[in-house]
Amino acid sequence: MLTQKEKESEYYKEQLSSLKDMMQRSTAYMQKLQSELSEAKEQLEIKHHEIIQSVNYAKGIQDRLIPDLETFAPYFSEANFHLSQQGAIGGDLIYARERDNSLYFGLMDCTGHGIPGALISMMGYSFLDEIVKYGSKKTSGQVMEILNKHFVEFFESRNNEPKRHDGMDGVFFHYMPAENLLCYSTVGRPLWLKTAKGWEFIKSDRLSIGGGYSGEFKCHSRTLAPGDELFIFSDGLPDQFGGKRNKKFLSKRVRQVLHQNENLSVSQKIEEMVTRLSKWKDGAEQTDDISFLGLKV
Amino acid sequence: MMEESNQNNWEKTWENNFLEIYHSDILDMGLCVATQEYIPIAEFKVAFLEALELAKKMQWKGFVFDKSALTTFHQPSMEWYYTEWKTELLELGLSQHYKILPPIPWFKTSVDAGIEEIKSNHPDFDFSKINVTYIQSIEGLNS
Repeated sequence: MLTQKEKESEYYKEQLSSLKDMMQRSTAYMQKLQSELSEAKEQLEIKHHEIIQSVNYAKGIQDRLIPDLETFAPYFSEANFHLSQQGAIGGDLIYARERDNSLYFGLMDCTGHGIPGALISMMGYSFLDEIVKYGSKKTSGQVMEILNKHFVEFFESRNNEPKRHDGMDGVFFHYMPAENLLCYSTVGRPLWLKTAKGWEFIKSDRLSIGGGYSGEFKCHSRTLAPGDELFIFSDGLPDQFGGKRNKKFLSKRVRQVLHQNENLSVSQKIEEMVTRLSKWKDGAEQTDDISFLGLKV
Repeated sequence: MMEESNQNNWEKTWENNFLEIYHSDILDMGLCVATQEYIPIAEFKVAFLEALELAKKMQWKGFVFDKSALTTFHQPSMEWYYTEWKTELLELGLSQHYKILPPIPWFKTSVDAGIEEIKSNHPDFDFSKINVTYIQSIEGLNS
């Protein structure tokens, strides 16, 4: 018969042995987990590298859509733009195409950003270029109307998949220098115009491309004079978060930068806008794709 | 356990030097509370076989194992508890288990390591049939 002391000693011996066993098993388990984690990390790094390579390659393709500033040179005394997609690729599109001594151009902001935005921008560019380049010459409103039709048709419901409302907003122009005539269609985005009379904010028509809208895409027109300037930007600019209280940059700051720097050249205004935005962001993440186009007659 | 408000009317039905078993007629559940830092397998089995009989008799719908007093567990006991005892409870239709672990940071890791070993030793044992919910205290059953 074991004495009480011996029983206690046996109990503690067994407990100690079990504790040792627990520690050994836990250590082995942790080592196994660590090894699995290292392997998963390695796989993730490989996948990440592949995705980065793929996106960078895609960027090379998407960058071909960016117009050469030379395209604007025969029509405007100054032209410049800033295009900064939220990622390597994105959904902001600046378009410019000469046709018969006139220039079709626009700044379009596609649904989403990143890969979906880039895909929509590629689609939009292809549709736009086909509409502008081929067939009879069209007004900016007609171009937008046909573009809208293409998007709506493309995203019709099919094979039980629901209809999609992806598309783009923007401002699209047709400039005919012989008549100093600028025709434009504001599709969900406004524009700033600076003439000898001062600054004019032109509100957007309540429209969108691909949003299921089937009404009239109006074509507004203005006669421009030498020295007139126009500025258009995607909503990523006013929507950028930052500042001391992490608020949006807002259109009022876009206006401030333009108005406060009205005597600067177009390129300097754009540079100033980028500087102000960068200060506003103060290292924070870019919220959306951001583009800004300025032109001077 | 007895320091809690006992709003679920836990009634002690059995005890030995290492474990206490309670029944709640409000929750239709059983509760086993470890009262020592370590439980030898013989005493562990005696208590849990008693709990099995009570589960049959009282038709428990869930079972709580309060291990908060433990600092050490015995792997063969845990293996038996999972593969044999819990299987018997499953046959009674009881699959909902609640566990209260001791406030020792590495204890959960040790439990996970132990379960991993059981899985490796018993590849046919279907852990997905058992629903284990970790709670902080017995009051956690009411939240």
